[in-house]
Amino acid sequence: MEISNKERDYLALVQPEQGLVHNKIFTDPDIYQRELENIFATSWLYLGHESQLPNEHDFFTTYMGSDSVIVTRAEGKIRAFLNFCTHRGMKVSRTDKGNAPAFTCPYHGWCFSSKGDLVGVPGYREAYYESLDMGQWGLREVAQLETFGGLIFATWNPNAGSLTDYLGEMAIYLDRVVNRSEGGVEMIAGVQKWEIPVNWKLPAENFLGDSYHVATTHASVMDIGYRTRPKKQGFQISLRGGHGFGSEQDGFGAGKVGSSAYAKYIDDMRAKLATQNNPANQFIPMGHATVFPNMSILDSVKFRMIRMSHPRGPQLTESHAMCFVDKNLAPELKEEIRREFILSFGPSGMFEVEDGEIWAEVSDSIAGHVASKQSFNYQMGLGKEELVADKFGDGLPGRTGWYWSEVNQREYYRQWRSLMEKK
Amino acid sequence: MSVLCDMDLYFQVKSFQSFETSLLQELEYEKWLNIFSDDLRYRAPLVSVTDHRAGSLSNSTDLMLYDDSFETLKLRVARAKSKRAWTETPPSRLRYFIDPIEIKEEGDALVVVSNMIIYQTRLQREENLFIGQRTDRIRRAEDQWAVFDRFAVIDRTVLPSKNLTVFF
Repeated sequence: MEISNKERDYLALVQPEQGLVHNKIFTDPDIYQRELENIFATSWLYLGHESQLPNEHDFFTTYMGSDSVIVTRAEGKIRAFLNFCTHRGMKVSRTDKGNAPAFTCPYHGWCFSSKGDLVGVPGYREAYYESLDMGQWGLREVAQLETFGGLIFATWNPNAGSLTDYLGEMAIYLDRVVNRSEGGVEMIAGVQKWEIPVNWKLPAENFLGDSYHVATTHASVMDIGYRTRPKKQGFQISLRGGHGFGSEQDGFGAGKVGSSAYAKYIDDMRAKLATQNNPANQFIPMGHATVFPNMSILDSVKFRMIRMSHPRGPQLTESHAMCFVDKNLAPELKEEIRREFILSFGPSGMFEVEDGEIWAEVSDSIAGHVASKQSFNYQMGLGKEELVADKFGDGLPGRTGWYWSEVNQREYYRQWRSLMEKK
Repeated sequence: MSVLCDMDLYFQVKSFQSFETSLLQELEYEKWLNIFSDDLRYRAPLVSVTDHRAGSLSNSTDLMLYDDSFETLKLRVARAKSKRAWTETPPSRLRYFIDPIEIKEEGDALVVVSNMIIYQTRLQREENLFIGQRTDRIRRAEDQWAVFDRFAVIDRTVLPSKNLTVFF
């Protein structure tokens, strides 16, 4: 397939109806640039969790797409700003986290409050003759910011619908990840960060719907008994807007080796919640998931992770991994989860090390000339989708495929295509 | 007080470290496990950018890069050596440069602080450099030293590698 550099035919590049996605979308610099505008500047993006900002003036920095942003708590309210001095663009915060009532730019000294207001300008009287409109030059604030069960999301798009609209069919399921226990969840402090030389969509689509790779990519973890071999019973669930999740029946399997107190806790919780009339409770723990475009979740019988795949270039992703626990959990269980998480996911995790190994090699291979003209195959389970309501009952939203199905990826790329086609 | 000036002790520590280095470089991980005691705590914290140096390392109840007991370290070794561990099939080529900068006594134990450089290359051209500092607590066990606490700081906040598979 020949593709002109100017006018791209996204209908030809991405054909979920045929189960085909051209691998150019994982390497092309022009497509990447367009994603930053059409995907990352328009979608709701995950920033972090309320428990990262317990006190007034607490802040942390992260990314929205390729942009550095500061998330603050000012007068109790959570806000997010471009980490960019409105005078010459210097980063006003160069740390990962802290507590600061104000951010002073190290270049010329413009000073911004944690509310984002410009509150100090050196030479305001002598150099600006008191005519600078300070009210106009505060930090650039996101267009909208909302939380869901303590999860902080924001968008640069003033015309985006509410976060609830954006999550849409995903909301009822995501609710079971963060609100299934009284008091909700909290984040274990610390964000694991590392760079993988791969386009951000490959990690995102893997967490979205790829139960298929587990038996092969992660074979070593099964060979040592840390995880049971997949039962080949399970499902993928695809939701409008490109979100989706999937799991082995009854949650991703723990092996015989290692601790199981949390697995028992989950079992007890499922039994207790059975009395509640919420059909989404059957999806506890959720399994693997992605909220479009780049927020992923892994909710297993060992731990719960939120994972961001930040775009840092057409073939570079900065991974941020964070571990969550129910707030009201006993300290020894929190400790068990923390250690099990570090052992299995994140840069050194016994599972995760293999994902990085594979993605980087895929990335290298599709940089080849002939390879760059190939499409990837997403035909698994094509035409075999059913309604979630028919299979799991009670009017639950979404479409579902078998445990090994690429139904989620097809919908994800359909959504990607519809946003990329927009002028 | 640092006793780096104690030639005999320095020599003993240095020989012990060289022995370990040769095992790691040869990927002899099962034998390498023997330098640790059963009550091992093996950790590598996260490094964050903060305004002050204190507080830049993650605490013991926070996320880390490694936080292992002897049992879980054994699991990691078993995985790395298993046939379908793609991260080590084909195997990495590794070089370790460990240099003690402080040795002091702490009760029956020695605290050994060392700078470290680990060079990992694998496949055709992949290269990773892990540079940092390692603090070991070691004690005499029969006729050799045994490490019962290892705390290794890799100085990067965002790891530049696609995964972290080296031991240190």
